[in-house]
Amino acid sequence: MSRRGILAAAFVLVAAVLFGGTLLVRNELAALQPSPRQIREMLAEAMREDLGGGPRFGPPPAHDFYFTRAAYTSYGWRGWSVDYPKADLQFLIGLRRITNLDSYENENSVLLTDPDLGRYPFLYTVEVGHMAMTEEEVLALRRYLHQGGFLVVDDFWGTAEWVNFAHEMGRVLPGRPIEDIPLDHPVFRAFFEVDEIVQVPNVGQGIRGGPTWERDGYHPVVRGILDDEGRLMVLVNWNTDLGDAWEWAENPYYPLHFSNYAYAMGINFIIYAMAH
Amino acid sequence: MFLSAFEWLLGSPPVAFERGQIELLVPWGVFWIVAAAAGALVFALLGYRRLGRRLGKRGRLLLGAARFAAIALVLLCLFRPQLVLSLVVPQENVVGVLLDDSRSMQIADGEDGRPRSEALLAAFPDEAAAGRGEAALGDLLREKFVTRLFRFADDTRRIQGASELGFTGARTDLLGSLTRVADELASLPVAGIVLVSDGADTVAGGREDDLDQTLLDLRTRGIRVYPVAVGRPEFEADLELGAPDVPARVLRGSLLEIRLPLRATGLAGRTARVEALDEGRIIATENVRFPSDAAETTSTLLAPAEDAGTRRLRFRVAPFPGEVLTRNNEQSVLLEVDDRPLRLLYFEGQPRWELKFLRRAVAGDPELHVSCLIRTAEGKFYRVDVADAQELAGGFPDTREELFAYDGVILGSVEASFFSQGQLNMLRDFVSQRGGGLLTLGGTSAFGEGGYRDTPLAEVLPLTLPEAATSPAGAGDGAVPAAFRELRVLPTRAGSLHPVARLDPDPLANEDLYRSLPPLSGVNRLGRPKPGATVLLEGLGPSEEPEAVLLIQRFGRGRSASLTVQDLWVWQMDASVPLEDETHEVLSRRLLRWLASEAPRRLEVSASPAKSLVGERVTLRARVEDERFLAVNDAFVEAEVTGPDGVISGVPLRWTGQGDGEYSGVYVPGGPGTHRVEIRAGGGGLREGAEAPRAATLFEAGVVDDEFFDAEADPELLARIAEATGGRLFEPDEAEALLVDLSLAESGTTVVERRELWNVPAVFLLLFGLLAADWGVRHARGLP
Repeated sequence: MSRRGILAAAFVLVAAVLFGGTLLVRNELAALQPSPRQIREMLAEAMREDLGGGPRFGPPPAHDFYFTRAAYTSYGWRGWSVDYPKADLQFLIGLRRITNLDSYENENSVLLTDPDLGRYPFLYTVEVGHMAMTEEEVLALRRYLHQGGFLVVDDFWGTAEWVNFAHEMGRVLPGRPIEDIPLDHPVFRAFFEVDEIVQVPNVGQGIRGGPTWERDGYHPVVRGILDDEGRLMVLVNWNTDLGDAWEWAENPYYPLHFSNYAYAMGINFIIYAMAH
Repeated sequence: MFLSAFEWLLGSPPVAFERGQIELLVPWGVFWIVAAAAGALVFALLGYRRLGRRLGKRGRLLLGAARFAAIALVLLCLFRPQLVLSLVVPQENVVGVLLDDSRSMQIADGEDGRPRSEALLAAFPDEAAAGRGEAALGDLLREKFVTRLFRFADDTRRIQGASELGFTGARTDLLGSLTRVADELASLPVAGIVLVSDGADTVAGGREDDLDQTLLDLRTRGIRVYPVAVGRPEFEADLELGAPDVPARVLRGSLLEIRLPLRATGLAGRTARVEALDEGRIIATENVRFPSDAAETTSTLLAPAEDAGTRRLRFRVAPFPGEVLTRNNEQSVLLEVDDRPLRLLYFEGQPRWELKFLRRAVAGDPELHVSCLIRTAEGKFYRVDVADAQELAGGFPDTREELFAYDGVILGSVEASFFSQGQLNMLRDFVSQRGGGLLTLGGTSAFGEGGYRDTPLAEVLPLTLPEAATSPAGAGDGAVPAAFRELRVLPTRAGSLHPVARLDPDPLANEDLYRSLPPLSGVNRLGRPKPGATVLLEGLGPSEEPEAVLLIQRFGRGRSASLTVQDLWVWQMDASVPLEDETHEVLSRRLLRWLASEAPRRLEVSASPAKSLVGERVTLRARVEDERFLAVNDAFVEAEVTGPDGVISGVPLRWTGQGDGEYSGVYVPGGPGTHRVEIRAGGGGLREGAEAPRAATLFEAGVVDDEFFDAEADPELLARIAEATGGRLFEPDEAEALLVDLSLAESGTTVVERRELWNVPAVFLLLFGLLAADWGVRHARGLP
């Protein structure tokens, strides 16, 4: 074998090892993402530890409102549980203090396939750039939205994640466009007057005071999917991270105006969802 | 038989003894009569004294009595007893003859299917037919009296002969006709009035006082009425549809509840299919089975009111074999289907899903407009679906003008202390005085938990609030309110029949439908339904007793309903409910429509009778109120009546002076058809510049078919007339007896007639019998 041949063979070998290794690592990473069943079991376990065995997953619908996080299947390590449950709990403190809503004080996450999904007509979810819903989840979410459920999407950035989200929504509500929601839409004045769309940075960038964007998501956008009567079914916050602003609202280094804005938006969404 | 035997024995009919007087024609005084009787007694007893031992005491008494009776009878004959009668002088007295010319005389319930009119015409034949066969009543009367013939139905008119009768009268006014004929004959010597009728009066029905007064009046005037009854008091087989109970106005898209009374005779075990038609299209049907031969029942039909405008609804049942009268198998009614949306106000003390899903449920209903006000924080309100920037800008209304503009109010979870005392009073008045509807929903701040127990609103609620339920509903253990309970909701029996809760016409299917729905939840401790309330839905929960979930009741002029659960929206969102299931939408819409659809408007109008004759006076009535729903007595009110030919006539309406805000005027329809009445009010206490209220109603002229309803002959009424005036009821074949009765009149021109009674066969037979008995006994005992 000539020297050139040896080099070529070595290169192919190294390339194969690298490629195989990447695949292996990726599969390993994918395996780390729990299945819905595992999520449920994990949550049940956490619940037993936290509350000494009381039922927290799926509390009886005795309150008027549950801030409910939708748990869905995704690829990669990012998924529905980013910032969970601190962001939810922090937001609930503000919600309960500012409005007179009879709200459940704890976080509440629910699988899209949970038979009790319909008992929580408001869903919040994040990191949809990595969403990869199963067919059952797609059907359950479609049914939920058609029955009158309301979904708020948050914390995903840039073109690639948008493309993934738009694809997933196309599976749930085929043929329904995702439209820009103008600032004169009633959702922006359901409780607070919001007259500009602010890009809310994640906690690291917020504290450092650097750029507020991630990846190529330079401009914050609020978009939505409407039903046949023109009512919002899905509200999409793209290139912004309201969840981090709630989660770190008590951090003295995180800029207050971002948190204020995020609370105003979140409360507006809920009041709007409960009236329209 | 009895009567003719009586007449042969005593020489005169019983009525002669009733009316006449018996006198003795004796030249002696009473002393001699008594003396003669005593002598006869002594003679009778002495005659048997000698035979006393052989006869025994009993035999002696018996024979003595027989002999005494015989002697007394002879003595009585010697005193010449006479029947003194007052007889009318032939051709010098008038008999008024009233002939029923109404349409009910066409009913063929006689023998071989002959109409009632035939019996009348046989009794009063034309001149040409006179003299054939048995003497007719008319001929007999003419021989002895001057007869005055009248036809009567809804009015009374003099006629020359029965050939003028057409039997087309739309009503039968017996009393009015009798009074008019009595008036007309007032100056003449009247022997009596002969009334030939089936007695099926369609005007006096229920006017007992009028009946008594008229009869008393006739008796005072000394006019005897001799009714001749034609027709059968009961049909062999007949089905009659009663007047349908339908609201005059209904909201488009509503489910119209029609109650149709059915009266079935001789149809035990048979089933009738009742059909409701709108312009020829069947809109509802129901099968009704009759349990007995004299069944009275009500068919409840639910039909959608789909098209706005004036609708004529018809109801019919196919005739049964053997039914004599089929015209009463149909009914019709006019209905105004309104497309003016109802305005409701929904107030929530906090954001709740109930509001969102109720809004969505009624969004597809163009006749319901629900303005929503949500208190989102202390002193902060969110308004949805308001008409303009002003509506509810100040929060919950605090003036009557603002609140009373709505037809209904929905109160969600809001504590009583939110309202001022004035607002609570106003809410009560909204129902009781304005006539609006109030729906109260369950929730953590509703009912007793909301502190309503000792407020004016507790009066309005269809249920009581228990004393214990004063602590906030959220004060339970941990996250769950203390009284939280899940309830499986099912319709009650009343609910299965009520247009709000009857989602399927079949009661079993209706119950299955509710059974398939997920349970709802309640957080309020509740008392009992009030006595006047109707429970439409009940919930089965942890306690053994079912508890009321949906209750309704009237309160004053308005309506009150309570939905005691806090999450009806679960019937929309739960995963077990199919996406296409409309239960939540249908129930919500029906409930809100029921709640507010009867709320009166500021101007209400009615026409009576709703079915009139051509030329009959139709009274138009209006009720006028201002924006606070207070009656106005000095308004200018005018009606515009549009006839079927499109001609418009103006009718001014004036305050009646009898009730606040009540106005009336009279219109006389000149032709048959549907008439539309539009009323405008203005001026007076009505605020200038405000939109003048308008209202409309309908009535129909020339389509009265009362004669075919309740059409069985009513001899009882005729007998009552006869008895009260001193006359007697006759059958058509009792012409001669009627003539005798008439001849013995005490009124009119009469002559006194004395009839000897000593020579009647009865006296001879009695004397013969007494003597024969005396002889027989003595012969049997071998006595002389």
